[in-house]
Amino acid sequence: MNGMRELGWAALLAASLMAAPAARADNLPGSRPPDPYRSRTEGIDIQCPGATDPKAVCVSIACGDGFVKMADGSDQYIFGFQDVAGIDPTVMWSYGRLGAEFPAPTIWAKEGQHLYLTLTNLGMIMRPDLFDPHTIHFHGFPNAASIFDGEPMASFGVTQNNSVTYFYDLQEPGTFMYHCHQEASEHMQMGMLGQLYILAAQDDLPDGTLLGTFTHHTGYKYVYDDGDGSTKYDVEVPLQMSSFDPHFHAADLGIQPPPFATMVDVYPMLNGRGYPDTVNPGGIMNNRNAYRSDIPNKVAQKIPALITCTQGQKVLLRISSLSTTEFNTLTAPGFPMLVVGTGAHLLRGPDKPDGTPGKNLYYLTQTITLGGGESTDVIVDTTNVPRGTYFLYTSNLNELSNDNEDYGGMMTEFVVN
Amino acid sequence: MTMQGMTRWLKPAALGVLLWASLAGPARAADFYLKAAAMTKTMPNAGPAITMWGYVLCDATFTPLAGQVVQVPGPRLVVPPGDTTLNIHLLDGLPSAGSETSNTSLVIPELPATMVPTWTDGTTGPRTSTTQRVRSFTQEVAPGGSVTYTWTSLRPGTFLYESGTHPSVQVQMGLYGCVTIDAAAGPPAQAYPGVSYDNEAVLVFSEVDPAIHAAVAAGTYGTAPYTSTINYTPKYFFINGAPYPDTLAAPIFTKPFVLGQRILLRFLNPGEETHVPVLQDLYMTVVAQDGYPLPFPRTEYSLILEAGKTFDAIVTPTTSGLHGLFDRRLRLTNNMASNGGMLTYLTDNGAAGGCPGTVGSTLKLSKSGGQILFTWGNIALASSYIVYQSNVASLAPFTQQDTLNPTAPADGTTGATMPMPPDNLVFFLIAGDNLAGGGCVGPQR
Amino acid sequence: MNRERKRMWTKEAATLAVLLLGIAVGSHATILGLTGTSPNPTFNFIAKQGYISTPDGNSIYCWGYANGATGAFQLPGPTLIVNEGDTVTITLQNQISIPGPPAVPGPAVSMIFPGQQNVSASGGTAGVLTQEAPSDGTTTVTYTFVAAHPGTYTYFSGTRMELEVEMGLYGALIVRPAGFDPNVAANRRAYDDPASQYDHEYLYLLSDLDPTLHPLVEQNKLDQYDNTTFFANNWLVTGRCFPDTMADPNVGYLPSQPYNTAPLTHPGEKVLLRFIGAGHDLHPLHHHGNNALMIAKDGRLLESAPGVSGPDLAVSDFTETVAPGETIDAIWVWYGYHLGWDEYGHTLGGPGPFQPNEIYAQSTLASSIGVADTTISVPAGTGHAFLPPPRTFRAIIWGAGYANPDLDPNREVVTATRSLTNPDTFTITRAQEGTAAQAWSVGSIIADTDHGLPLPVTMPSIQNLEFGQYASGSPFLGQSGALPPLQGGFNPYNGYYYMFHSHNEKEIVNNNVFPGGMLTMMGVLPYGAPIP
Repeated sequence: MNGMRELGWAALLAASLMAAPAARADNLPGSRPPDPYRSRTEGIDIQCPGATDPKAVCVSIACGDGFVKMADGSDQYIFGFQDVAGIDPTVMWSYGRLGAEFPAPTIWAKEGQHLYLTLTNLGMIMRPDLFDPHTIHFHGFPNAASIFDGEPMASFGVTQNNSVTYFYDLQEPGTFMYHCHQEASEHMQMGMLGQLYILAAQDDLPDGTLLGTFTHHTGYKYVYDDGDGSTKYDVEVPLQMSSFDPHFHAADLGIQPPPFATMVDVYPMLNGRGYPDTVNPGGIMNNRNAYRSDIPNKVAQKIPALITCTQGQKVLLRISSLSTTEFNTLTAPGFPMLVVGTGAHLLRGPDKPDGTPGKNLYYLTQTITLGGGESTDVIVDTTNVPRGTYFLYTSNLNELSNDNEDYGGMMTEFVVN
Repeated sequence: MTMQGMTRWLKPAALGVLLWASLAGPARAADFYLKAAAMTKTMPNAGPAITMWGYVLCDATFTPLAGQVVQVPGPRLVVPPGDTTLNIHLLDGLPSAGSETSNTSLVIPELPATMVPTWTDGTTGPRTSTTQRVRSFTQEVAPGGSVTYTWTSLRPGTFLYESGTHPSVQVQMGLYGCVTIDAAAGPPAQAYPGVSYDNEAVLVFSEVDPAIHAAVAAGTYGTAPYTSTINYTPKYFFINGAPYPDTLAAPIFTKPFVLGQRILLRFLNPGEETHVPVLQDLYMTVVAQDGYPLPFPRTEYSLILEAGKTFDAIVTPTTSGLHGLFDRRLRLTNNMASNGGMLTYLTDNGAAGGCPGTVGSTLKLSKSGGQILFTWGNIALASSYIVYQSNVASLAPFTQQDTLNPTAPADGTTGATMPMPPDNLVFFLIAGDNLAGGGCVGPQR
Repeated sequence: MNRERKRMWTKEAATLAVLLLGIAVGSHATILGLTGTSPNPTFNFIAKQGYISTPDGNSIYCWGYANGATGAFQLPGPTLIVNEGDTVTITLQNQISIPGPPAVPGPAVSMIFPGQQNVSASGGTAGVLTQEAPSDGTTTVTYTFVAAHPGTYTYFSGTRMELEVEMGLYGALIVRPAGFDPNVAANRRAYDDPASQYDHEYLYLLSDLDPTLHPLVEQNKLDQYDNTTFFANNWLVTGRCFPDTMADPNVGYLPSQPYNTAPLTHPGEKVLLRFIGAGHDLHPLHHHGNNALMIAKDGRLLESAPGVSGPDLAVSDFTETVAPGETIDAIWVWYGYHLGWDEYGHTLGGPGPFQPNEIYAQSTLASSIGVADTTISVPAGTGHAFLPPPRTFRAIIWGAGYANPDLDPNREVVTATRSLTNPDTFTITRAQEGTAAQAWSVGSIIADTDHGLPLPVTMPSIQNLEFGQYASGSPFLGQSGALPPLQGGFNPYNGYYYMFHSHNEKEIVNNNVFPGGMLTMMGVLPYGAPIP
């Protein structure tokens, strides 16, 4: 909300100017290199180095507004991201109109790769009065530099009709997240939330490699570079906890100031869906055509939360929360959950001075509790789980609701075949 | 049903009911018969009477056992160490609740079991469309009917049992309880292999939103304004089914509290919120969660007790005093009134370290002329009080000893007397219908 | 494997930190508070009332512990900083008088100290948890305990907590370990263990308040005070809401909120974050920039053998769950490692100066190599500091006689991969980035570093971007660049700033104004920039 933002920043300026030292100490240390900000002026510039960087993996994401449908059938206006890989910049605006998705497209890359992540700000179709910048914050990226942290107070947001390419040397595997950090309380409530998974380099070891007493074989997948095969999994499932306050979304659609002070979420979701939409293996078609008759409806919720596996498989649940309001607890009667990672790190104590791995801190649990900006890696070994249908749901039981609709909310199913 | 070849007896105790199996065998089964039914719980300070749904422990014909009533939380189910099968036989005695289902079921989230869901369209088995919604996570039973749930992959631990049917309503209504399985009977008992304890307390944290209960009781749940539980606003906060000061109305320990002994605190949260129990003046060693031993115990004074969670912790008080145990999320009111909610004490009544004589500044015990004089002030007068006793030397479980009908001494306090037991190594706790506190007469020193 | 954890843990890392400090300035940010006189510190608290201001323009009636008769009402109460083994005495009187109308005496108040054992309380009247001071202004309650264990603790009222904690009766207690010395790096510790050594410490006492409840108390409408419907609209770090968190301590315009939380550090220095949950709710405190290592909870190191093993159960995370009543100690370090580009904007060969954190792992050649060799070995036991296989990393080899690769005109850039079976043997690809393969003698240096790597992407014109106040205008640490008018300006040393904030994002507003609330900005300043 531009007006409120201006007010906020004005207050901030006034309050903090007093504390700001007067002198700037430029060039500390060393001399200044050429200013890299001055080298490009065109709007959309998708930077992907191709052969000049063999480690490069390029992702092109656009952001703007759109609509999604809740499990009770209601439409929610959102801000969000969409995948625009391969879309020519000359047609991106027409392609991407009202195309925001929730959750945002999941970004996958591999440890050791160089991620070139281009964000293009397409502006708001339903809110032409807004000219909010946007960012991508790679949540949890180790040793982040401010310029690619996507936190605009310490760097910048990219303004409408422009793009920026963020660069990340992917050093650590794990379950990360990404989200817009511009006016985060608003933009995140509005839906600019996605998953970012970095796969372990250990997956690519030569067939037959010994990891301690464990023998790696081609095709094996691990959550982390565990060195002992203990995070091997067969099936991988994303589970993003989040929730919406429909009054907040309606205010944004209705050109009202964002009602931060009254924010209460009543649509608890997994992967952007309330139950039973969570178990729909297909996409959820939105209803944006009702708001813009020249734009046909779109599948804007593309990530099911249904978990299916064959008995005996190890299922990796990459669980994260990007709730803007609260902690949630997930419980799963009938099968144990082994936590092997938190905060995109293998759950081990610090390595010893001689380089040997730290103490293994994996633990079994029946519940997972996450607040916003927290993630964990859970492995479910289904060897001793009888075939059948199980339920993974919030034990904050009142959130088994889609607003005023019962038998819904933050729940999905775990089917062991 | 696998009662064959077993001898069982029931031993009513101050806290729930203990079941003991006496015969060892390679494939023993523990059988419990529970009836789900409605009951009413009255809140302190002339608070409302709230309709709840609870469980009562029954015999094999689903007749309540002697002394057993419908209770929230449900009776503690103690599975003897070494048993390999647990059977819970459930009779649905729930009342009609309008459009809200009165079918029910029972799950133990922490134990593997074969579960066949029942959908809101009444069908069971695998999902047949993308629009079906689950009503029961496992086989359900209709009012008047009964069903047997069987668990064969047992392990030591502290577990919840609770309704697996429309849990946002039925668990809120009170359909939850505690199952414990020890690794070894002892003494000393072992909660988990290598985790011994001398005494234990079960601490079940839960909350109540009276508006939901009223709607269910009136049969109006499912119609506006209660079409879902999304606006849950709890007003009463329980430890073991009661808010403070009623938390003091029964001993929380199964045996007398002796300084230096290892007390196993079994925390359970079948409520809907995260609570943060904080121990005053003490640290505890957390040894397990959800019935899974922690790879390394943790030493802390606070516990993040999430909804649906169980924790086991060992605390070993070595000093006399009043050790508060309260929810630091400040659920410390009864509705709006202060000094309520999730607060109780770990007290060293009658312990080797001496008898403090007062608890919660409400109750005092003294010995006088072969009598024990109980006096208490600044609380509402109850019509009767119950005295529990145990023997510090033998550390026997608490038993109910006497009922007191108090009088009002001249000093304005409330008091009653009972004969001094012959052995002064006797420990008491007092409880009433509206009450009070605990106290003790400790060993002479 | 886990590089920053390893670095934090090892004794080598401690040595490295000392070396870094030798180059950096000698200042070490510390937490403000009352220290008393060891070994018998005595503090005289008086519960008083007053108003705090929030950046949304509100003035909120609160209660707080004040330092003696002359101390003003403050939120939070004074941070008490004592030494392990001290016998701590705190006297408490109560001057709270609810304004009304009608004016009435406030309720009795008290103090409890979770984590302290054998606390004795005398005077006043008995309450449900401890002795309480009635609001007569004269009755004195005395609390005494021995601060037996070092660590981070909290204190708060044990009386009508849903009212009195909401109103502000809480504070922090820090117990320094025996032998603590802020001026000796090795003795600047949080606990009796070298793994708790730090360079800077900051207090994150997190609380939340419902501004609709406070006027009810102020106006003596306690019969309408319902904490079961608590709904926060202000979120505080050590008594202030952003941006006030970043102002100086004891500023005149925040007379009741003396403590700031404006953290600063240099690359590679250890920042001890002392988290305390003081409000109603759990808060997910996310630190940008890097994971932190949680080493203690509730004033106890996370260790498998208490007092022996050190924090070998410490957990790395990018967000700390801080629950009310609990405390967490975490160590956060920003190294700037492995960005894939040189954060100083250097080119190989200079200009420099070469900065201490540019080397991520370093060893020497254990045997000489010729220009065609593709295998090297390093001294036994030194290889594990490098990235584990099958990862490939960039490294520079240079002559032993040079302090850094810029100084050796024959330096060679290689890519390297550790052997799967012998961590001290690497396979290398020679002569990268236009350098030439050289014959290297025993003792030549090999280092994993991004030194000299260019920024891999081209940034948009500043006209296409909107910069925040802590932006320097440059991607490079210690550099500045042009910014549009009214953008930037709060980063005089051109550091990298990182938001440390509640990631339940509704908590970073002040009522309806964004940004605000439970938010601070951590500045990583270039070496040489002063830290107060």
